[in-house]
Amino acid sequence: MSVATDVDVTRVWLDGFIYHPIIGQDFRSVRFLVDTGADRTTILQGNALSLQIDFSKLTKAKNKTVGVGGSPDVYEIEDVVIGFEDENTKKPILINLKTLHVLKPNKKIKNPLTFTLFGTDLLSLFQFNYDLPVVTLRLKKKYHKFIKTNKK
Amino acid sequence: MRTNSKIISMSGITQSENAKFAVSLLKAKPNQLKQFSHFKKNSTWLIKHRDGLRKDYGNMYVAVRHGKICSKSKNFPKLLKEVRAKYGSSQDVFIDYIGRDRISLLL
Repeated sequence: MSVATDVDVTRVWLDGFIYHPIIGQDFRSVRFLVDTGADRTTILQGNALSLQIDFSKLTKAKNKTVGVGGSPDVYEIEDVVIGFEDENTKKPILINLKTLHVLKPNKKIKNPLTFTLFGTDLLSLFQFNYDLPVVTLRLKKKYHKFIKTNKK
Repeated sequence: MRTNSKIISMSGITQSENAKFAVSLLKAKPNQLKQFSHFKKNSTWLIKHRDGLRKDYGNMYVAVRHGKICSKSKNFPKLLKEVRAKYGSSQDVFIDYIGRDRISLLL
């Protein structure tokens, strides 16, 4: 079971979707950037704007977060469903993320980034082979037992 | 290792209430899978054509729909508003920033 990636010179992108009632009644398509330096999967400011996230319904992150630009304004969404399409079967692989981080948009930010960081909390579920120009992201075998297919 | 995530299901049979809800949602609205497929095509298209677009769309946000640029602006919230007004939602539209030169990301 693997997820299709797009390699842009050295960056690894993948498309997926996010579902949580706070984000809307439908699941929302999101572009992820694989970031081995991100401990948590994080929706960046521009993506938070496009997803129309209502920050009044969110709580501030309990733990301090530090990035290259200092300490951003981080909020949390709990029990989020993140989905990716299996490259071969085209069926969704759904992952329950206990905590998803969201950066609050700020007018001072000139060019907000419009994607979501695929952090090591998600990456740890996959076998990640970064051998440019070929990058593969395969679900680790030990997690296959959680996957059951609908044989109807 | 403490983990923040777990696989919950694939194609219908689930491990938790949360997942059941998500799967029924996927089943109930197949048009959303279609939207996802459009979104994916648009994002892949932009990655492929990004370098060729720098001259005309450099330092702008562009919105890609049906494999072509449907809107552009230097202001991201303004572009979002425009796309929503034109198409009702921005769900199958892929929006990204194009630098005049290749941008280095420092995350």
